[in-house]
Amino acid sequence: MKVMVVDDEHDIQLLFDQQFRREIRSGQIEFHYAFSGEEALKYLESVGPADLILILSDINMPGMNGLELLKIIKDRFALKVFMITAYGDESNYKTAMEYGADNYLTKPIDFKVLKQEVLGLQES
Amino acid sequence: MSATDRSDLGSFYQRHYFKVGLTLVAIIVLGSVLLEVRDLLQAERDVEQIYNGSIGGLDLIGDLQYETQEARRLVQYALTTQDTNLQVEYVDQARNQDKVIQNNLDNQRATAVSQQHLQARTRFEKDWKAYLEVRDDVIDSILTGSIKEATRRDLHDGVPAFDKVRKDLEEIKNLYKQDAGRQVLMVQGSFNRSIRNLIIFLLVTVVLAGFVLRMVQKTQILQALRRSEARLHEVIESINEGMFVLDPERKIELWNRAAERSSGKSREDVIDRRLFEVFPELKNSDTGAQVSTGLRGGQSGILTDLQLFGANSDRFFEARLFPFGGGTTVFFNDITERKQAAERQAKLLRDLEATNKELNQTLGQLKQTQDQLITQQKLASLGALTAGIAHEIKNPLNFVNNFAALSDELADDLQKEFDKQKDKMDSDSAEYIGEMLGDLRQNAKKIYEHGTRADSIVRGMLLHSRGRTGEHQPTDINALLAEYTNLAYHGLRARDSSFNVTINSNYDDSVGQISVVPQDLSRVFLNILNNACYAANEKRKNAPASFSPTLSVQTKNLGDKIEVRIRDNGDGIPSEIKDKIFNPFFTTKPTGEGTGLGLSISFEIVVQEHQGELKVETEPGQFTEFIVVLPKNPTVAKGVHQ
Repeated sequence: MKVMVVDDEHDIQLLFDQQFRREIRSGQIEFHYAFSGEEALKYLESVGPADLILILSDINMPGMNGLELLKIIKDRFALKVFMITAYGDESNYKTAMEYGADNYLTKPIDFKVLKQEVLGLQES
Repeated sequence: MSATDRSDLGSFYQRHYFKVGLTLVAIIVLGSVLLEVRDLLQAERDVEQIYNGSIGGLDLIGDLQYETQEARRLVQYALTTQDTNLQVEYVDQARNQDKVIQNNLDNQRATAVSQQHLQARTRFEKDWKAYLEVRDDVIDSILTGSIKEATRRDLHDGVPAFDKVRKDLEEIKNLYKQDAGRQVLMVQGSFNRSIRNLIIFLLVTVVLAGFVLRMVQKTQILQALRRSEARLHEVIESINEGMFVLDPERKIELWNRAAERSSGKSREDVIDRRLFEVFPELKNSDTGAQVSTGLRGGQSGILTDLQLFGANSDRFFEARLFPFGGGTTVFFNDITERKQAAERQAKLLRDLEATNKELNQTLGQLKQTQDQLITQQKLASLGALTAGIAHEIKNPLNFVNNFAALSDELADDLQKEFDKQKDKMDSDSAEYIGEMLGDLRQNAKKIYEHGTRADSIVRGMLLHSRGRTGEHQPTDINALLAEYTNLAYHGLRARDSSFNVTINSNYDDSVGQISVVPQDLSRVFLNILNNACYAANEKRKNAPASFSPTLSVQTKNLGDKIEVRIRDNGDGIPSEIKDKIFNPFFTTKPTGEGTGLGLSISFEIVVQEHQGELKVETEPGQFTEFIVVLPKNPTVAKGVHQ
């Protein structure tokens, strides 16, 4: 399965690659990284969803924020989207749910939980 | 009769008396002048009579004497001269003299008045005639030249005859003299009488004039007095204040117009009647007693709040008493309106005071609210700041914690690989690498541990700023409190087995359900309960064995509010830090044990979210008691949303 991670922090790639080292090695999961909402959309427009089944997106990013991105993706593509944010407040949560987010996780990311959610998605 | 009529009448009397007086004086003066004139005319007539009579007579007699003497002398001249021409001349002259004398005699006749005069004159005329006969004989003798015969005849008959004539004239003269003397006396008398009358009239005039003047003066004074009285009457009538005069028997003698107006009793109704007859309601009333006392006192005084028409009347009067020798003058006024105005004013004043008091209370409340608002504002801005910081910190913390976790895992894997390979290595190096690997693993763990700690702090900070959208719902406060008391106790027991505390609870059943956000309020209770248990337990560590940590939890229904009191018998809060305990990040717990956010969050929840009060009472060394007051019907919650 292919998962796109959208976050303005470049270190997120290092972290995900290491956290999912085994799953990546075994070919169970593949990550594509986009460092802004615009970049993520560009990728989706040029490559298309293809085998992509999940997008993990931060909310607070320069330019297009995660919620805007979520709305566009949910309008145009049939993709699962998990929001991962440091902002665990009600209003962001409500907006995300309104726009159709499939999950809402707060930073610091609990990778045990994230792995379960992501792999559970694959199984289903 | 009006005042003007009286005044006119007064001046009329004045003029009338004056005229009468003046007329009287004029009549008297005129009368006396007429009498005087009459007297003077009489005197003039008298004088004229004297001149016409006696004095004129005297003159004529004097003339006659002279003329007869002359005639006699001419005869004697004729007798004594030798010249015949002269003799003839003298004789002619003597005969001419006869005519003069005859004229004189004719004049004499006109003046003769009295019998005596007539007799004397008749005698004179007879004697003169007798003499003239003798003289004619003598003249004849002379003219015939018989001087001797003539002289003898003259000496013999002429001289005695002429003596008779002379005597007769003398007698007439004397008669005239007597007449003159008598007439002069008469004129004198007339003058004296006239002067006496004049003096008498003058005196009478002066006296009368004085009398009239006095009368006029008296009349004027009388008029002035009458005017003054009329004025007094006018003044009394025009006084805008009720006025009456009581005689010593308390009968009304005077009752002015204002008195009529304000009492509604006309003068005819009250004059010569007793005060208490006029106002029967005064008998056996407080006002009556007051009036009686005032009048008996015989001194000036003011009586107020008099009810002349009885105790049920709504009219009030004020009276001022001015006693004098023959009674009492009373001024009185209807003060009902004044009294009402005063009462209204007093009421206004009372209302104003009440309003003021209320305003002051409101001001106090406003100040309190202002203080609360300032505190809330401070907390809110602090919350906003911390929220910003917290979120920014969360991102790096995400990496710190996750990379630390990864490093830990990697270090574990590395340790396993190393354990497999270390026999193939130099033992010193293996030992050194093993040691470093151990430190590396430990460091990774420590990084993770402290990162997690930082995360919990940040999470606490975010609780402050997180917009509270928790729903208010009716909640049984007693049950909630009991549940969290239990939770706190067991939570602490789980962490520290030596911990123990006696819990005394006293729940007021009438508190019932009130509208709160249970998940937030429970945090408040848990925070306070944890602090209370911690304080009691801390004291136990240093206290004698007899000390028994005690927690008392109670609720109370205050009507429109409820009160929750959580009290511990710990060391209390020193007064110097009492003001800071609600500040964020303020804690007395050792580093790592508390975030210093518990009470500041609790304050925000109670005060902002529930419009309640969070207070603390403490006695250092004795106790600390947190009091949560919650309104039963809070207004719409105003959470601070970031």
